Amino acid sequence: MNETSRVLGASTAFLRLGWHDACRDRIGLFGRLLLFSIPVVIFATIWQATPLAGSGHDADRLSWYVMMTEAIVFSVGYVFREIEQDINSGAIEAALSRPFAYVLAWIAEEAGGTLFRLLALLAYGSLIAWLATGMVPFAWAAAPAIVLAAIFAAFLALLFQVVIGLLTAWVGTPAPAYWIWQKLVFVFGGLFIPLTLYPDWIRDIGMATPFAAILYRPASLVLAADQVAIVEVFLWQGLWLALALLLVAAVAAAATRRFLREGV
Amino acid sequence: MTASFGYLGALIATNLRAGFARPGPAAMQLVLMAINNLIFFVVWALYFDRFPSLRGWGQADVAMLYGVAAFGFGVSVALAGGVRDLARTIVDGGLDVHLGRPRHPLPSLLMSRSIPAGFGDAASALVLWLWIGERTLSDLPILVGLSIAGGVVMLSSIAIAQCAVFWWPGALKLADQFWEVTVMISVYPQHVFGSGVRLVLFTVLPVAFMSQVPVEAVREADPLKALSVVAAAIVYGALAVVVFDRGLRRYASGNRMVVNR
Repeated sequence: MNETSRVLGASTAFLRLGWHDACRDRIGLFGRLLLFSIPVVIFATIWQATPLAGSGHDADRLSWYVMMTEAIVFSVGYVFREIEQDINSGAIEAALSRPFAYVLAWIAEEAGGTLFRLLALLAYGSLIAWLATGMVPFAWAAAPAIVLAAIFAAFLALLFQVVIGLLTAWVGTPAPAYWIWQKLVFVFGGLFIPLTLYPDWIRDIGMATPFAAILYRPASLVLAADQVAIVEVFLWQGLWLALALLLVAAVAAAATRRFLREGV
Repeated sequence: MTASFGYLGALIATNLRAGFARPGPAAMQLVLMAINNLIFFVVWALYFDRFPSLRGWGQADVAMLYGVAAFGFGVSVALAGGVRDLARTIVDGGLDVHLGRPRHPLPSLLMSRSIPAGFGDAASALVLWLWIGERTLSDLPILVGLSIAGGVVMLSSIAIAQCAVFWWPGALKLADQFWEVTVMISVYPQHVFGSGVRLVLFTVLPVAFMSQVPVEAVREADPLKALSVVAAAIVYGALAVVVFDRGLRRYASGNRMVVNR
């Protein structure tokens, strides 16, 4: 078996493990769906109460938009905390001695769980959005592209969380870095307000960041899902995924060097 | 009575010393939490830049609401951060050490941990009230008082939810999620909701008393609303003690050997 197929096989096994763990955690899923409903209802209600005339948007479509952004946010969870715990408890030592990159194992396992949760959240969220608005704002033919864009977005968010988790090697407690990163995602990603409703200069900044590729770009497909828009979303996500993978590789290598040099 | 206050004061002092045992990281958490709240408020600034009002509420009102929720929550977790781990402590059999003390175990459990970032929440509240919220220094005593009362409601309702594990240990994750739901709802204006949702927010999930009613009391200079927040703090505080005591009857020791120095 060559190296590539060995890595692929192990990654798939970790991905399946994460998927099955997420499947088995029924109480956790129930709680997550409940928790997810709350901001969706809050934001949808706020949009219903907002004087949108002349904005080019309507409350029903914006409710679907918010459902998409929240589904992505809720699917990822708090991966950085798991990594923090592994590093601070010393469990990373055992992982370092295994014949498989520990960061890849984390990513694959968390990706499996994230994928399951995202699909569950999107299914449930679409149902409540449809019941609340009585409409589906996109053509059914665009649905696979929208789901795929959401998957890429969640994976991108996951990679950034892995980087934040690895910062534990230097700072001990990465939570403050996570809070700031999360709020930047909310603001420049357009968690609640689509970037097109921002003042021009902030919109331009937001569009040029990975935060838009995580929230605004995939969620904007429920507002307008023509072929050009879909291709543009995938291109931006592809670019940021490539850069995020490079960043993960660089930070993981630096963290490993630190563990080997100074211990855990 | 004096002895009880002395005991609470000693618990708070010990808790804060532990929370700030590493002053550098604690101060960093505090500062970053304040920045974090102010960054998040940018969303509302962008909203009100585009839309004039939200059912009669402007940016200053939402800033006041966010500040009230942040101050109440912040002070609660800075002084009584043990509420975060209450369910876990019960499930792990960690109550024994608190039960052996000659006082009611709930205060020592709640004050067994300090989350220094809570002071960052409180600091951001001052910026939100005085700068964005356009309130004056003379408003501070009522804002601080009502925020603390709202914080007691928050702390009590979270403690009640965490006590669910006495009856259903599998509810650990749900108890955690109740915490997140409570915090999440409290920072958004609730006057936009219909009567059904508002009924829930005044009873089962008493978030209305944590931020919305305190802000309405200040906006409308309504002493009855202010008193209702204080009354809610007393009622939910008492309810938390009753639920904890009932749950305690079902508690079996964790048989853990713990050495306290």
